[in-house]
Parts: sequence; structure tokens; C-alpha cells
Amino acid sequence: MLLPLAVGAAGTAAAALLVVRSPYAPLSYGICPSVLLLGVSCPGCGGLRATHDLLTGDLAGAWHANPLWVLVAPLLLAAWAVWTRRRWRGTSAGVPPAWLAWVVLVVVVLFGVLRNVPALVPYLGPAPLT
Amino acid sequence: MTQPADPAGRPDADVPPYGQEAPYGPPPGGAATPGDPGAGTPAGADAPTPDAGPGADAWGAPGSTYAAPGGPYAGAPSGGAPSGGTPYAGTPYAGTPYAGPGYWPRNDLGVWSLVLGIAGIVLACGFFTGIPAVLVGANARKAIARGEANNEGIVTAGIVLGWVSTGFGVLMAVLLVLSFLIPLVFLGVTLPWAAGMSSSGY
Repeated sequence: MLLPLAVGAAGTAAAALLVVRSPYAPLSYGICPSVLLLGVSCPGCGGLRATHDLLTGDLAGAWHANPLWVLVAPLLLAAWAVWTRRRWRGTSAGVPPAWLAWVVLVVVVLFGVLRNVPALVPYLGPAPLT
Repeated sequence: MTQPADPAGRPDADVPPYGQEAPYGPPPGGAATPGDPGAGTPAGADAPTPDAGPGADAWGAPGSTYAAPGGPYAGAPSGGAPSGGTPYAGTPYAGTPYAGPGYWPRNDLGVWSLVLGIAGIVLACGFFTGIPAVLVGANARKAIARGEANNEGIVTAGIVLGWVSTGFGVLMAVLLVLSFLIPLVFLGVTLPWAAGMSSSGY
């Protein structure tokens, strides 16, 4: 029971930090190392901005920052809720099937490739910081 | 719970051999139904359950000898009441909705560990998935030790990749901090609070 609560506390703390300290301020959280070293947007790039926008109610801004994260974040929240409830009731935590792991990996990698295609950058890429 | 129906309802092709050998367990009435798991096991399950005497021992012994290749599911057809003494009697996954009790091997944890480890490399922000990869990998190791999974290599790869991506994440964080600090030092830029202290000295 401790692990879900610890994860929830960490997530809540991160969310509170993201609300208080906006990632839109230049270099407020540094630069993603893949942008810094490779010049490539990784699948998670824009995730902080997207989270900040989701928490402050700006869905369009979140979608422009990282569309995949906008789709995945609610699922992660639901998965955490299910996990916590299972632990709370004492039933053994079921493991999501292995095929789902491969689907997740393919989606993440595909998203990371496509959002660096120049024609798709306006749709999938993180909006440029102005 | 649904143990008599198990050998017939198993989806995995690895498992039915253990179900077929269930007639080998009950010597009292087993000779009439060899080789047919669908029909043989309900009859075999009916026979030894009422008398928990010598039949229970006969069921318990093969379950323990199968423990090495078959893991906990070797004991599943003989599980429940007759072989209550074996450590695998109660299947620990009775409540999972994802698969039936006779599904082996359960390599899902190890695959998740590997995928999280790879994602930690791909995402470049390592620790968010690298640390979970290590934790899930540790659980997968436990599952292998319990005989529920057999993907040792995948789990090892997941744990190693998890550590590597975590290390990358820490390295990136350190580099990030240094990239702010080193120019300050080399350019002789005075930090605001340091400037205040030095000016207050004069």
C-alpha cells in the first residue's frame, strides 16, 4: 500500500511544482537533453508544458506541446487509481499483458520519429518556445 | 474453485501435458481415464476429494516432483482440497482478471521491465521510466524465482537498461546544473547574493 501512495505523493508534488513554476519561462527546467545533444525532439519533449497546461485548463496549449502526453496522462491516472484500489483491497496486483507493453513501445517510438518529420512538426512536435 | 475444469479450459499449449498426467496421480481410479484430460480430470477430481487419506498423499507427491519444470501450475490440477500440503496449493493469481489460473509462463512483468528500460533510453529523461524498469524487473526476478516465469534474459536486459537510463538521467541532470554553473564561474559573473555580500563589506 505504501508504494502507490508514494507514487501518488510524488506525482502530486510534481504537479504542484508545475503549477507554481511555469515551464514556459525560458530555461525554467533546463533543456531536454535530446534537444541539447542531438537536436531531436524526444517523445517526452513538451511534456512539462503539456502537464502545466492540463493542470491550468488549457487543453489546446497542452495538445500543441505534446499530444501523446495529453492522451496518455488520463490513462496513467486511471491506471494508478486501479492499482491503488487493488492494493487497498489486498487483491494481488494484476500485471497488464505483455502485448500492451509492446504496443506502448511501438507507439512511443513511432511518435518520437514522426514528430521530428518536418512536415509533421506543426502537428506533433512541441510548439516552439517564444 | 474451478480446478476440475482447468485442463480443458487452458489456453496455453505448454500446460496440457501436466493436465494429461493428472490421471497418473490418482491410482485408485486413474486407469480408466488415461490420456484424455477433458474427460479424465473431473472423474479424477471427484474420486480423491472425499477421502483425504492415502489419495491425498498420492496427489501431493507428484505435484512436488513437477515443481521444477511446471512451476505452480503443475499443482493446479491437483490443487484445492487434496494436495493442501503442497506450497503451490492455492494459486496466487486466483483474483487476476487478465488470464485464467492455468496460464504459464507469466512473462508479462519481464516484458514490461524491458519495455520501460527501452523507453527510458528513447525518452532521454531516463529516471521516469528507468526506475520503474528496475523495480518491475526486481518483481519479475521474484516471479522467476517462484517458478512463474522463465524469461530470465529479458528481465536482465530490462534491469540493465533501467539502470543505464537512470544513469543517463542523473548524468543529464548533473550536466544541466554544471552548464549553468560553469559559465558563471568562468565568466566571473557574480551571483546576486554574493554581490550583495561583497558590496556590503565595503
